[in-house]
Amino acid sequence: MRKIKDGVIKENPLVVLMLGLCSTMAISTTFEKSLLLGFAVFLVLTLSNVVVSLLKKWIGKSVVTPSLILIIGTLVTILELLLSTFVKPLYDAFGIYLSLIVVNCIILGRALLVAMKEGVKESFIDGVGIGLGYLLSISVFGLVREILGSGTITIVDATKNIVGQEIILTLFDGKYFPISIFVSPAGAFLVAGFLLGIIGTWKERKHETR
Amino acid sequence: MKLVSLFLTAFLTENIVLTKFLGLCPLMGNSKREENAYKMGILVVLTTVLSSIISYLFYYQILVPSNTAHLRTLVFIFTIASIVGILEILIKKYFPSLYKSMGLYIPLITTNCAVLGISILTIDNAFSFLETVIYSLGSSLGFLLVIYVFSTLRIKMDRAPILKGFQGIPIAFITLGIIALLFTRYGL
Amino acid sequence: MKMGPFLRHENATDKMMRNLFIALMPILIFGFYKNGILPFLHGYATIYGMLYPLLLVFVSVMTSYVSEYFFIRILKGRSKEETKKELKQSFWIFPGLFLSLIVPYNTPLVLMAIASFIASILGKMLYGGFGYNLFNPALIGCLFLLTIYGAQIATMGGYLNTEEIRVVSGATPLANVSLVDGIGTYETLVEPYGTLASFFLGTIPGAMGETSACLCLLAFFFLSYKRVIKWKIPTFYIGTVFLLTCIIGSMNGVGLWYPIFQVLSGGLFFGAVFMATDPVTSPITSIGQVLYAILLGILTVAFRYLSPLPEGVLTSILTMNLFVPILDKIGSSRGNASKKMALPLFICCFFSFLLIRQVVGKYTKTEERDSNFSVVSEEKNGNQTTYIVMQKGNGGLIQSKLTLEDGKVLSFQVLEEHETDAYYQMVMDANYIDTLLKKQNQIEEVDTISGATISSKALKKTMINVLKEAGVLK
Repeated sequence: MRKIKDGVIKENPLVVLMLGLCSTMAISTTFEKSLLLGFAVFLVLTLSNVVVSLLKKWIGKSVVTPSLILIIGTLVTILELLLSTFVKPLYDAFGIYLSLIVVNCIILGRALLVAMKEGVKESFIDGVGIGLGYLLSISVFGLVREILGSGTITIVDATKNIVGQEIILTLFDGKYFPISIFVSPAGAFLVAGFLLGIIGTWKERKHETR
Repeated sequence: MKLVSLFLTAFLTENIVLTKFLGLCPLMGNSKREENAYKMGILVVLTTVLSSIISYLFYYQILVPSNTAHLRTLVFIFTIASIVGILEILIKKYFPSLYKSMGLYIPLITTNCAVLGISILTIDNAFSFLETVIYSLGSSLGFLLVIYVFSTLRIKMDRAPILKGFQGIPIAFITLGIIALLFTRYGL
Repeated sequence: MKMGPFLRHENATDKMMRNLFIALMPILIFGFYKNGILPFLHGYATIYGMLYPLLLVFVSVMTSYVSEYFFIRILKGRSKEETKKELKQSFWIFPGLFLSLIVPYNTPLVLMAIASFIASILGKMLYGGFGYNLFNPALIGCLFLLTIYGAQIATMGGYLNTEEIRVVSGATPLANVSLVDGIGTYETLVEPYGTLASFFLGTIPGAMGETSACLCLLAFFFLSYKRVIKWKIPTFYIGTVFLLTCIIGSMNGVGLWYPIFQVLSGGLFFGAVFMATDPVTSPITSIGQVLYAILLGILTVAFRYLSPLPEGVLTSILTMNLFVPILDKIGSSRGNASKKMALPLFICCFFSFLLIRQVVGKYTKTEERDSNFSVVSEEKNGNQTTYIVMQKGNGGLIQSKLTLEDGKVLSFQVLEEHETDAYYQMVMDANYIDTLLKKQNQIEEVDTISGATISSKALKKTMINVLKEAGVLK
C-alpha cells in the first residue's frame, strides 16, 4: 500500500521525476483525453512491468534494451489496433502520441529499474503506483487547461460511440474568459510551469515552517 | 519554392519542440550544460534524418505491400535503436573524446520522442522521399536550434535570484511557453 | 542586492531614470495630444475619450507598482521597509510606462491592467527582478495582450483613435501595405495619411508613443549624449531597415520615399530607441550590439513582408532577446573586431540576400500568379466546373470550393479555415461571400471588411484567382 502512495506522491512521474512529458503536454487539451491517456499509460506500464518481470530470466544482459522495446512495442501496437478498431475517434485524437508511448521514459525506465530486478508482485504494485500517479497528475493538468482555455469539462466526446452520447459541461463562456491560449502549445508550457512553480513554492514553505 | 517553405515550416512555424512537444526530456535535463547541448542536437539531427529515410523505405517497400502497416511502430523504433547502436560504436572508435563527454547520453537518443515522432509524422503526412528528407532535416534542426538557444538562456537563469519554488524546471517551462507564443507570430 | 553589471551606484541610477523621463515626456504629451485632445477638439470624442490615453498610462503604471509591491512583499516575504528599498532600485515604473505607449489605443482599461501585470510579473519579477529578465518586460506584456485579445481590440478600433477611424479604411499605415496591390505607390501608401512629413512628426494612426519618429529621434540624441542608451543599436537597426527597404524598393521601381516611409512607420523609431536598447536584454559587447541591431533590422523587414501580421518590431526584438547571450559570446571572443565580425557578417549578408530575393519575388509574381494561391482540384461536370482551392489567410490556408458555369461563379463554400475566430466571424456576419458572389463582375472594387482585412481579403483573392484560373479574368 505504501509503495502505491509513493508512486503517486514521492515518485510522481510527471511532477517529481519529470518523465513522459511529450505526450502529456500534447494530449491534455481536454479532461477526457487526459483521463484516457493516463489510463492507457497506466495499463501499458502495469502490463509491461508484469511481463518483463515474468520474462526477466530469459533476457540476457546484452539484449536488455531491444527486448524491452520489443515487449513494450508489442503492447503498444496491440493497444493501437484495439483503439483504431473500436474507438476510432479516440485513436485519431491521440495521433502520433499513442505510438510514442513506446519511448515513454516512464515505462522503459520502470522496466529497467524495477521489473528487471524485482518479482512479479512487486513489479505489479510499482506499476500500479506510478501509473496512478501519472493518471492523477495528467488529469489535473488537463482539467486546469480545459477549464481555463475552453471553459468546459469534457467527459465524453471522443468515446461517444461507446458511451452513446457526449457529455460536455460548459462552465462559462465570457468575453474575456476563457482564454484559448491555454489549450494551445504555448499554454501547455505556461500552465506546466506555473503549476510546478506553485507546487515548488508550497513545498518550500512547508520546509521552512518545519 | 515549396521545399523551402516546407523546411521553414518544419524549422520554425511548426517547430517540433514548441508546437509538438517532442524532445522535451533531453531539453529539460541535458541543456544545463551548454557544450553538451549542441553535440546532442547534432547527433539527434543525424539519427533523425537517417532513420526517417530508412523508415520511409521500410514502410513503403516492405510494410505496405505486405499489409503489415500496423507494425510500423515496432519497425521504426527498432530502426532507430539500431542506428543509435551503430552510431555509438562509431563514436567510441573514431571520436573517443566525444564519447567520454557524451557517452551516457547516446543510448538515450533512442527514447527521444523527437526521433520516432518525426519518422511517424513523415508517414502520416504522406510525404514523398525528398519531402521526407527535407522535413526530417528541418524538424531536427529546429530541435537543435531550441536546445542550443535554450541552454544559453538557462545559464543566465541559473545565476538569477528566482523565487525558490520556481527555480529550475518551472521557470524553464514558462520561458518555453513565451518562446512558443513568440513563434506563433512567425507564420512564414 | 546585486544589480548586474549595468549600473554602478545609486547616483547613476537616479540620473538615468531622470534622463529617461525627460526623453519620454514630449512623446507622452504628444501622444496625449494626438490620441486624446485632437479627437475631442474635432468632436469625435467625449471628455472621457480625451483623457483616455492618460488613463491608460495611469492604470498601467499603477498596476506595475502594485504588482511589484505584491511580489516583493508577499511572495518574497520582505518587510515593509525592505520592500520600499527594493522597489526604489527596481525601476518598477518602466514596464508599465513603456507598455502604455505601445498598446492599441482602444485597449480596455481592464486589459491594460492585466497586460501590465503580466509585463511586471512574467516579464521581470519572476525571472529575478531588474537585471535578470530575459525578455523586454513591456514587450512581453504586449505580446500576451495582442495574442490573447488582439482580435477583440481590433474590432473596437485597435490602434486608431476615434478621429482616425474615419480617415482611411480603418487600417494603420502598415496594415494598409498588405492591402494595396504590388509594392504600392506614394498615392496608395503615404497619401491616405498625409505626407512624409506627417509620418515624421507623428500625426498618423498608431499607439501613443509609436508614431512620432521626430520626437523619438530627439530622444535618441539626448539619451545617447547622456550615455543612457546604447547608441549603436538604434543606429544600425534603423540603418539596416532603411538599406534593405531601399534595395527592395529600387528593385521594384519605387523612389526614395519608399524606404523613408518604411522606416517612419510601424513604431520602428520608438522600438529602436526605447525597447531594443533595454540595458538588461541587449548585448553588452560592442560587436554584439552591432550584430544584434543588424539582425533586428533583417528580421523586422522579413516579418513585415513575409509574415501575416503587419508589424515586425515586437516580434523581432523579442526574438533577438533570445540570442543576446550568444551574441555576447561572439562579441567577447578573442581576436580583433574584423575577425570576430567576419563570419556573422557573412551570415547576415546571406540572409539579407535571401530575404530580398524572397520579397522581390513576391511582388513580381503578382502579375502572373498569386503565390499564396493554389488549386487542389478541378472537376468538370457537364457545363459546370468545380474548383477546390487554397488561399493563404490570417492563420493558415483557407480551403474553398467554388463552382463555375459559363464564366460565372454559382457557389462559394469555405471547406476549411484556421482564421482567428473573432475575425472570421466578422466576415461571416457581414455576409461577405454573398457580396463577393453578387459583385463578381466588379470583384476588384469590392471592399474588404475593416477589422478583419486579411481574412476578407483572402476570400476576395480566392474568388479573383479562381476567376483567373478559369480564364474569366486576365
